[in-house]
Amino acid sequence: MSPARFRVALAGNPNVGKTTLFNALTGLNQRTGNYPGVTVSWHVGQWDLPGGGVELVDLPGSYSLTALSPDEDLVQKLLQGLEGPAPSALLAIIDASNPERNLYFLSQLMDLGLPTVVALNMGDVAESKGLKVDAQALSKALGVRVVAIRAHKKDGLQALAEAMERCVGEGKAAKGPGLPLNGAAAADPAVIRGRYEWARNKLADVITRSEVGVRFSDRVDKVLTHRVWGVLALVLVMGMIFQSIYAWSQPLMDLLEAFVDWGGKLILSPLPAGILKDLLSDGVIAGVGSILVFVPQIAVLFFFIAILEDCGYMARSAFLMDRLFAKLGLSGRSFIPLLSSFACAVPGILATRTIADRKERLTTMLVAPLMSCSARLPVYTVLIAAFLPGRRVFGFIDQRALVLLALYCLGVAVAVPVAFLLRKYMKAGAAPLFLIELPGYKWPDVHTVARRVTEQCREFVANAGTIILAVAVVVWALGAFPRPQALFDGFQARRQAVELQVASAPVKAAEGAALDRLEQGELMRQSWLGRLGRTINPLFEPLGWDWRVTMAALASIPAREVVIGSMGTIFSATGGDGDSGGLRQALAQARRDDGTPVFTIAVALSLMVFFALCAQCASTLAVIRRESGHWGWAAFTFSYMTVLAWGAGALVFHAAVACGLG
Amino acid sequence: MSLTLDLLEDGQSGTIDGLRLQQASTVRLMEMGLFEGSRVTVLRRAPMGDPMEIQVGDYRLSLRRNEAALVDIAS
Repeated sequence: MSPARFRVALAGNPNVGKTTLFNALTGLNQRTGNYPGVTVSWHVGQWDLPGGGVELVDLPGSYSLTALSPDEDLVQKLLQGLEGPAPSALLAIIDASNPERNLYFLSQLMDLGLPTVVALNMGDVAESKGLKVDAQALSKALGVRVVAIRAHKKDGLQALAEAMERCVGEGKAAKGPGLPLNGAAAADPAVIRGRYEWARNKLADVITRSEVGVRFSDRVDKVLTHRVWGVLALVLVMGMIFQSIYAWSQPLMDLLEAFVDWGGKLILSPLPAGILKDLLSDGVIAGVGSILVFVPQIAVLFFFIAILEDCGYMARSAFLMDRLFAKLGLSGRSFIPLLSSFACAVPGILATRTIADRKERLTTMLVAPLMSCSARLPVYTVLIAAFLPGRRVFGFIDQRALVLLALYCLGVAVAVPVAFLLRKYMKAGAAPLFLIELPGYKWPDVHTVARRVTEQCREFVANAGTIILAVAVVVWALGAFPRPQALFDGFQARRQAVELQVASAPVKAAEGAALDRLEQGELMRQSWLGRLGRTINPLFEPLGWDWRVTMAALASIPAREVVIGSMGTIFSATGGDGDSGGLRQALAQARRDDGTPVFTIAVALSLMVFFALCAQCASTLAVIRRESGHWGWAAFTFSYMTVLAWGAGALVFHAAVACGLG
Repeated sequence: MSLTLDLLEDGQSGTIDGLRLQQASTVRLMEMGLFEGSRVTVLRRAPMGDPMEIQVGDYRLSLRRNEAALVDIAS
């Protein structure tokens, strides 16, 4: 990339094809900038003009320059040169099918007094509405160059580049209506009206209207927002998305897992057994695996979100569902992020980027981890299978299925009051006006969708990934140290004894493997993590937990599904990873120091309820930190969820004991 | 009792007579083209009766009923 000569800002309303135009002009020459606070990102790319490359900045789509949302605040900062160099020229994109409101924003942009070129997009949509905007006449009326383009077909881009080159060469400042741009004066009703009048005057001799029949887009809208058909379509679309996060990403996840395994073996096999090998295999490689495992889910979800947003359906889904969420102080925009969180909270939290209101977005982010994600399922199924008798209720409903259903409902039931309280006590910000544009339907743009997916995945790995890896390594180290030589010596002696006394090779191998597991279990029980578990166990006695259970819960801070493997190691379960029978047996046989069983139905229930509500997922917390801009919100999420999980766990334990299940 | 936007039937049009929302919301609505003299048409309501889809100028937007109730329509 040759050094850019100057910076051009690309501005326009949302839903006018701005991103499509930006992608068409800059190709792959792009990078992303991030705005502190709630993440709003912007893009910078290189645009090749006839006279050489310039830097093109894609401003977030906005309706006005009077900063009401974080997006519009960023637009102002970028235009004033507070984030990088100030632009030397402006490329304004307007929607020919909705000229008046687009010219309102343009009047503000032109009042900035920068050399300006206007890209007149979506002329085809306008014509389908019986609206014709004459680019030449508009250029004459506005006094700036206007180029008719079709961004998705890459039509008119050459003419646009030439116009910009000439415009900058002349250096002629655009002249708008000359009304106030900043502060209270800009928001004065007379000023807003003045700008609309200016727009109407400018358009008077530019547009012609003709009567047309009902448009295809309107007919589609009538079905998709219909009381019955609309709801049915929404259920179908959401069902498909939900199913795909589970079903489509599973093969991809398996593939990635196999790849990490393969790569791990490649790195590990030449290494001698010992601490370095353990660090790499159980700390680093396991950590990398736990980052990559999220990528397919994020990719699949954002594939759908990008399509839904680009084609115009996203706004309709918010329209249809708004009522349900309004009572909680949220809106229909929270629907997709929360639904996605039932598969996994990580993509769900990333999906909150579609929510414009900061407080609403934060609330959605903070309750998203309460939805029972797929990582909780193995915890539920193992404990249910191990400790709950398969009795039938009303003769046909399996009690175990009922418990599983109750655990899923628990998250939702808790999320309702939490969301309500968060909204109530969160510091006041902009007025929560639920106002969303319902844009015309269009075919999604392939490049826009592809870019959204790759960008989201890359950003997750680069930003949240490092935190996830760090937590994985730290928790591994806590569970692996100290390493007393006496322990290893003792097991070495037992191995030698087996070597000498047992003749049959298979028996020898089995005994050796059993000793390995016993050694691992012993190592973990006397580790720092084990000591920590013993120290803080009094805190978890109200939940009926043995210190080893507490320790397994601590070990699962990186990811809740780890608790199963940890319990396997801690209780020295026999049988391989794939054999949950071995684990079940080990759990059922585990005894406290006084000889009573570690697990009763009451303990199993309290453990499941705890895991339904706790925040044992470093990835979720890393993403919350990243998306909210503060560690504080991640810490808050961890605290409130842990307190709730503890309280609910204790309640369930004591209720179960009272019912004679202790 | 004066007429407000939320009282318009599906398919019914009206002309805005005034906005009684708090200042920030009023500014936003005006910037979106909803001010005294603007022509609005209620297209439909969401399945649970709220929000409503309205046509303003050449585009459509979704507005909640409690906010539409603060938009006066000339009778």
